[in-house]
Amino acid sequence: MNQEEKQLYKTFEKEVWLYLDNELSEKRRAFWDHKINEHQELRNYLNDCLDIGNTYRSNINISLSEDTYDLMIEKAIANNSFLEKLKSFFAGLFSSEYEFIFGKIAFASFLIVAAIIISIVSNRPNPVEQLTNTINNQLLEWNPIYVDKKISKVENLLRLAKDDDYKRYTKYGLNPENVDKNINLIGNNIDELKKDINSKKL
Amino acid sequence: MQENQLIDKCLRGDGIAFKQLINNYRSQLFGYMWRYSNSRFEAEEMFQETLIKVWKGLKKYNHQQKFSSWLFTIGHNVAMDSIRRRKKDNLFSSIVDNFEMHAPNKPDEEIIREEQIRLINESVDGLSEKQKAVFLLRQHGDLTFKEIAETINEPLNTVISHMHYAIKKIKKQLEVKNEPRRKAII
Repeated sequence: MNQEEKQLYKTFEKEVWLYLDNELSEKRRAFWDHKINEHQELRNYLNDCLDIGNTYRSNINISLSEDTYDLMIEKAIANNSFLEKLKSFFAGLFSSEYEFIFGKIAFASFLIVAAIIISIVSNRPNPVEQLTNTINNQLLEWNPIYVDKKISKVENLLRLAKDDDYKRYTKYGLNPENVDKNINLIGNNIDELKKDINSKKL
Repeated sequence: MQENQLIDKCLRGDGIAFKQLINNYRSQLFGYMWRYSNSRFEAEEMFQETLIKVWKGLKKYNHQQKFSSWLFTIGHNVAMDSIRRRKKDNLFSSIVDNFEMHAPNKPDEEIIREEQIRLINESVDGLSEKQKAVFLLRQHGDLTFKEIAETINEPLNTVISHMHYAIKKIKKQLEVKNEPRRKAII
């Protein structure tokens, strides 16, 4: 084998697998077709590559039993997490093979449930504030008439404080009507005394 | 049913579709693992682990890629990890299965062919890890060299070089072991 043939052989070793895989350009493939016909060494190498592979493949009859295979498949599927199963379920609902309307209903239900859960979780009131409000409301609801009277009394006192009657009221413990009544009563009594005196003349 | 349809069904959690999908490659993949590990027991573990990874990883599968190539990439990685663990633990060193299948009363041609197969198997065991992986992926996975390069994450030229040396070694071993027989016949 001369130097040129050696170089050709080395190049062929690198390209023979691409030649077999049909990965070479048409031009390159034609080149090797021609060279393989010309050179026995190249044919031998190509045959070695094919023969070893073919002989090896003729004995590939290793297999798994059906039962073992079934068990393995089951185990692989069972290994799936709950979250992934849930995702697959929802992905499946929107596939073309399922009724789309069912998917819509399921999705709407899911949204409603999610909204309820979110509202329950997010709007939870402060328990201390709630207790304070309850006590105040309870106090008002227990005796509102009493509170109302108290307010009216305070209003009267404020009004009385503005005029002089208040002084009299505080001094004598009487309001103007009572004073007038008492004066009338005294007047009446004086009139009766006068009548009584006139009838009993000396 | 087409492969892509089966994959879509698998993505919706259809276990039967998954069984059908893998069934097309079951012998090839399991054979690769058995030959790679030389242990049926270990090959079964590898196969199981591969099934779990494939089932979980199907959502990441790119439909542009050939499924067999993707499957063998996962299978090869599982096998590599397992072999690495084995080397570390040295647990399975004694559990090596024998692939000899001599049966009595067979014709001479058949016996010679089986002897050739036995010799090739022995030679394959003597290859380096990378050479063995490339050779077995080619034979069991029926992958092109471009696909093998992607599977084992090596440049195309390196993969071809591994194959070249693997063939060279196997051929040499066959010649060496066939020589005494040839001499005996003469």
